[in-house]
Amino acid sequence: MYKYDEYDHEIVGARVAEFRDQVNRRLKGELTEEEFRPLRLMNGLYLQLHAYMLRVAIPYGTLSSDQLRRLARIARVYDKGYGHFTTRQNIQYNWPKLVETPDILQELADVEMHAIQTSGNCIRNVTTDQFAGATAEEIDDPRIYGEIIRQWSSLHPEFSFLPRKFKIAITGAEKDRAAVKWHDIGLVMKRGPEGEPGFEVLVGGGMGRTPVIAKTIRDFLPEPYLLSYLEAILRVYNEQGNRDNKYKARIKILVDAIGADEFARQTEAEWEKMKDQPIDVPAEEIARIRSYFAPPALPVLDAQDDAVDALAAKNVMFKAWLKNNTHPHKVPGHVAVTISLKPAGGIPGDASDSQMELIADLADQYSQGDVRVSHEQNLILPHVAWRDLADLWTALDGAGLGFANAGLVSDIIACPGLDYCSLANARSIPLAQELSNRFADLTRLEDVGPLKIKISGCINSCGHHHAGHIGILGVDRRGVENYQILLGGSGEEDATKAELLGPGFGADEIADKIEQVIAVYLDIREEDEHFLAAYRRVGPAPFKEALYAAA
Amino acid sequence: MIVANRLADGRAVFFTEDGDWSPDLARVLVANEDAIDDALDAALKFEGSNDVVSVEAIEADTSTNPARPAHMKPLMQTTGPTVRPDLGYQTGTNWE
Repeated sequence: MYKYDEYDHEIVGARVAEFRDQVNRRLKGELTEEEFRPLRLMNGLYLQLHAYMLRVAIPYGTLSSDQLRRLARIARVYDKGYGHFTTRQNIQYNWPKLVETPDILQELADVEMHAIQTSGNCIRNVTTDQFAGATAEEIDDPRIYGEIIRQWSSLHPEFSFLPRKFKIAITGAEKDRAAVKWHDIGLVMKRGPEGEPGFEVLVGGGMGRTPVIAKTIRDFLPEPYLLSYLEAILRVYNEQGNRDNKYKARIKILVDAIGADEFARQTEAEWEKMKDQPIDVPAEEIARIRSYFAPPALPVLDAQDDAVDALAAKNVMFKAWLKNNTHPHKVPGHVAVTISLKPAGGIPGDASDSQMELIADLADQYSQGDVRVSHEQNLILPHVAWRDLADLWTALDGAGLGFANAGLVSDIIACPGLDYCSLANARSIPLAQELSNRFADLTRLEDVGPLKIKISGCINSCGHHHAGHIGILGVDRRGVENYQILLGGSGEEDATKAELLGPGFGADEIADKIEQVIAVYLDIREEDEHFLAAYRRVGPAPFKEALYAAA
Repeated sequence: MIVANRLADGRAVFFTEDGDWSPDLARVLVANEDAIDDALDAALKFEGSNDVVSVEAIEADTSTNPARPAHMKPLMQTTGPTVRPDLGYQTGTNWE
């Protein structure tokens, strides 16, 4: 993975010292809250319902085992013993004290991490495929370009005060696990006519109160021009984005207003002026960054092991885990392992300090010290030999981390919701807990099959409800929590917006209604048809009839 | 009633009858519409002295004893997250 050079260390170290001084001045009253608020937000420090919340960037969702150990230590020493992995591949701490935040940032800086640009109207953490560098599906490791974009966008003076926040996602494979079509800019790696690498460029995707799927403005951008083209897009947006109304300030509103073709035309015109300026990264620098992401030297091994077979024969959870929680690796005899942070009744994305430390140790033992965070709020060990899976799973299972539900109905995305978040209108986590308890039985889970439930506690959509096969949006209905059901969304390469099914339901009935939706699916599905395919075939009518006919 | 967050740790606190801040609802000041503006002025002085931030007058539910916030969000601030009763305000010793 990328290692900080002297400039990275200097920049991050200087920022910690600067923030320490700002906190001291705030506590002494030399800065007002009005003056201090933007400064703390620039360092990822929010004020939520019960406490401050610190959002720490995990660039493109990649962690070393030492970094994960440090995140565990921060949870234990400065917080309440846990952290929350988010849908943007970051981690949030829910209870930091203001006075201790500079110490936390120093602890992060010591392991080459920070919280810069995890808030504010700037380019946020670049997200990508959690299996980057491991999956055989990819054209190239997207983290190379994620790192190039990180360096370009960090403290970029022209793009530090954009009309609104800005999110870029990149996938190295046609198979999209990074929800790129739901981002301000989505990049899909492709090969050009001569086999050269490059990107399909999409703009104007986003969730929130106005869900929009990004539109392609360039079918193929050759790799050397990545930064100049991104810069051209940002310039068009920065100049024309709406700064008067925050609800109309995202790039998706601009692209919708002038049309994708016109946006593309303006971007191309801007790009023509700068494409041969020294903005793009020289080939030797790309090669240098590429070297940090060199694939580990894994031996080709057998994809069969007696110990694995023996455990699978006697343990149904392990057998299911082999099927659901492993992904094929580009090196034969290896897999990428998804560690579910969604046990029955658990809080999606939460991990305790001891769980994080165990996973760090297991990463060292079995996965080249490499850990990933997925936007679906799980942790991944990307390079595991098949022959180690029985030992690995046994260790995970002993810490409550062996649940075989990756990609299944209880692998729920949920935002922090009203339990923590000052923006939320309704709780998300209790509903996720209730649903995962109802689908705790492995046989039932596997019978339902792949199904993505995504829950947001407000219209800002941190829980990605617009992209859920079943999306759930919590609202405040005359002072009472109320939950709307949306069906048919997708965050993958076939991205679609979920459609609102009808009026919402109270907190005491929403879990029953979701079970009813799933019961309808089980009734109408044809052979091995997954939920999304069945919904696309029949539309909302049978679901509406089941949920609303009796009312 | 009036709610705010403590500057030092962000904890939600309520303006009390004796002109201080406390998480204890039994001490909370409940004022009618005529008196709330004066109370808010008094409470906002603590923002100036950097004890609290985000000072806000909120509707009270006086049907309970002690009174409590009428709406979900500040009500949540009196309990801590419902999903971690082991860590929220309920635990007392974790907090003072």
